[in-house]
Amino acid sequence: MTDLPPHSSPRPERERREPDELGELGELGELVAAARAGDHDAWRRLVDRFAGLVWTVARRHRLPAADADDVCQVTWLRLAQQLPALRDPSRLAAWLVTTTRREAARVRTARRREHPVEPDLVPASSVDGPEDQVLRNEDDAALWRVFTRLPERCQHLLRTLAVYPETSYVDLARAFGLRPGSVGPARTRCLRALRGLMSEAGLLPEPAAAGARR
Amino acid sequence: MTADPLWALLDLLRRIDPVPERVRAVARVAVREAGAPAGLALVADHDLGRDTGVRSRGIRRQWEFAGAGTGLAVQLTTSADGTLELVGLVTPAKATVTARTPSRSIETDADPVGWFHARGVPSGPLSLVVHPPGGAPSATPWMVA
Repeated sequence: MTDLPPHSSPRPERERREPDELGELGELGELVAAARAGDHDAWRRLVDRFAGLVWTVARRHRLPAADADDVCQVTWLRLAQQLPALRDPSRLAAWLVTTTRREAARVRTARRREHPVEPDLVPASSVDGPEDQVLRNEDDAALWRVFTRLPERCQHLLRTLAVYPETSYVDLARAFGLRPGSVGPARTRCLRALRGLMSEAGLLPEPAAAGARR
Repeated sequence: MTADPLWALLDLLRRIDPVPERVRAVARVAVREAGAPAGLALVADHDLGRDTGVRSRGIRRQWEFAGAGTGLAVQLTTSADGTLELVGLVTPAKATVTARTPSRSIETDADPVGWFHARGVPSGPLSLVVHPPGGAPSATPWMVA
């Protein structure tokens, strides 16, 4: 995952572009080929690039962190196991999403039989965890409240887009059970809703907030 | 706060729910640990209900795999100490079965009928490798056990 730019230089919302327009598929193909040939550095770069996506898909299934850990580990071990057979690098993100989703669903089903109480994605624990410390910041807490007011499907879609903005509409459609043609409109609706709620909460600079009210 | 809602959200998610370092650590060495491609496909995953045994914590499942001339059925029971006990039947018989996890591997020989038994298998990612007598090994996919 790339580092974030400093907050002092906000950038305009990115235009939606397919990965091949950015030359990323070529680079991805080279990384996969190098990893398959035994280049451990290339493998590490693949892990760093997609770790956020895999984690987000695992957490989407409301697994406790320990189970999400296991699911993510299994996904990476399976990818390493299947790497020699992976011929189309453009399918890698879809493969990771599908594999993580299936294993997470399998584990979730098993755990629900064991522990009928479903864990929260962000536990309302009386003991301070890292999320409590982060959410003591007023803006962060307000953004989190805004985010959790969105419909659940919007939360999942925006989470995925946030951690892996290069995800293609085809992969998103597969991950969320949507028709490919409905991903773009769904993304637009969810972003508009998020922007509207952020504006309402005073979390956007004035020009953007004015734009959101139009 | 930034004017880009997605960017603000990404920044928050990275801090509130980051990918755990232990996940990255296992992922980074997975390419060395994964082993041979999976030749055995999962064909059944059964919930067997609760075991009331004294040494058991009560969770029992059965996985069945097939492929490459090999069949494997294994029951997984969670022990009181949180590790797994495996009892399985493999064909061809007299094979050696290795239970692989990211932290350790446990090897066990099947008897002439094909039964095998392994204790103390760590819960979490697990792959089983069957080494038939005189034949090439075949592995199951990695799964959360």
